[in-house]
Amino acid sequence: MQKIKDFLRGFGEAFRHQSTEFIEFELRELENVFALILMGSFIGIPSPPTTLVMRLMPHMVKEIRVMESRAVNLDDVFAEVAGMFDID
Amino acid sequence: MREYLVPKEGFRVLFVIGKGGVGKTTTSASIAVGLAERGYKTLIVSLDPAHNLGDVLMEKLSDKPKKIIDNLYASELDMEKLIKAYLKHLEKNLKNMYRYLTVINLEKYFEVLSYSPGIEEYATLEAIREILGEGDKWDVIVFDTPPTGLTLRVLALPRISLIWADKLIDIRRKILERRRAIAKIKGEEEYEIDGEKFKLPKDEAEDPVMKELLQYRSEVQFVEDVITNPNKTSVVAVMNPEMLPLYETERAYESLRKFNVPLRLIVVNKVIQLREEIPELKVKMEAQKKVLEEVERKFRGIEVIKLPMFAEEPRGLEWLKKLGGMILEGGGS
Repeated sequence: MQKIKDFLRGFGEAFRHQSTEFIEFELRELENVFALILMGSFIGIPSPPTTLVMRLMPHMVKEIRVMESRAVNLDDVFAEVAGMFDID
Repeated sequence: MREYLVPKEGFRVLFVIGKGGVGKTTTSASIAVGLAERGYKTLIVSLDPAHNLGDVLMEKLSDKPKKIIDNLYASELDMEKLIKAYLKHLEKNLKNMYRYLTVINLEKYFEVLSYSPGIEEYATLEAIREILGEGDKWDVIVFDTPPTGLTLRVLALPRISLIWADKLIDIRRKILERRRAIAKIKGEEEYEIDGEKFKLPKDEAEDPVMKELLQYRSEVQFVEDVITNPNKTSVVAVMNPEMLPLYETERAYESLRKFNVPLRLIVVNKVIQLREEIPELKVKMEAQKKVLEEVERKFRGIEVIKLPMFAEEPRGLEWLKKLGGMILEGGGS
């Protein structure tokens, strides 16, 4: 009985993972874009009003740290994208 | 009395703009003195880094409004000090939050920031916003502005900042939407960095970034609403009867129109009037006549006042009262 339950749970988990995979990818990209725009002046793209950036940055600490840790764990972006679209 | 120079809907804001040296400060001081004399509680603020409002009023001024005569208060904003204070505040704010970033040596970065393009405009806008925020303390606020270029950019800033804020709010909203969607399906995600566990905000009400964005937007919107409302704001352009100031006024007129800031009055200052012809000045007089004709032709629908060139430099209260009377009531053409 327990085994069947675990099996079904695993099944559900997989479904959930599949269904959120795209949203998660999109979310990460949006987060990256948001942070990138804020720090545009560092990489030479026009940046929003300095006042606004300076006021937002203090609230971005956690997010930037999460992104940092993601960047560390990220090894193959292309493989990720390819996997998502079932390209082997 | 010119109705666009006196309060109509709450307080009245007057921006006096013009090329360097045409007599902006004298004009704005005259308007302020004239208004104060007529019973309006008036604040005159000099935003021009080359401060000479104090020289015109013959008083020593600081960034705190100082009473000059009944109903008239004056202050000079020290932009350099303002920028420094502005950066100091930001630096402190950032340093607390990004303590682990001290390796980057933020101080050095902030030293450079004070020379970054646009910082002066932002600081000026910030100063204007602060003054307008307390606008209800006054009947009329007169801004004596830096030369045209900077002023126009400052007046354009609210519109540009709004576009930025809207775009960022848009992206932020999308981010939060997706976080909510994921949390609904998979449960909330918890992150752990350096042993510290936390969740990222997913609702607009609990997201500090979104709150700050909306707060900033409403602040900028307030400035934008004030400076584009013809019942609250009037721009007075000052020029001399010469070709170059004419061109500059024309350009200012164009950009103000683009940003919906109402230009209402053009003061042609230092118009030479001769009782008899002087051969040495003949060419000059002809050029002046031509410019005056051009002004009439080009700025249709905007009132033009001509102020004569006086034998004596108009300084001190008596002169300002006299000039103020001419600008507020007489001299129209």
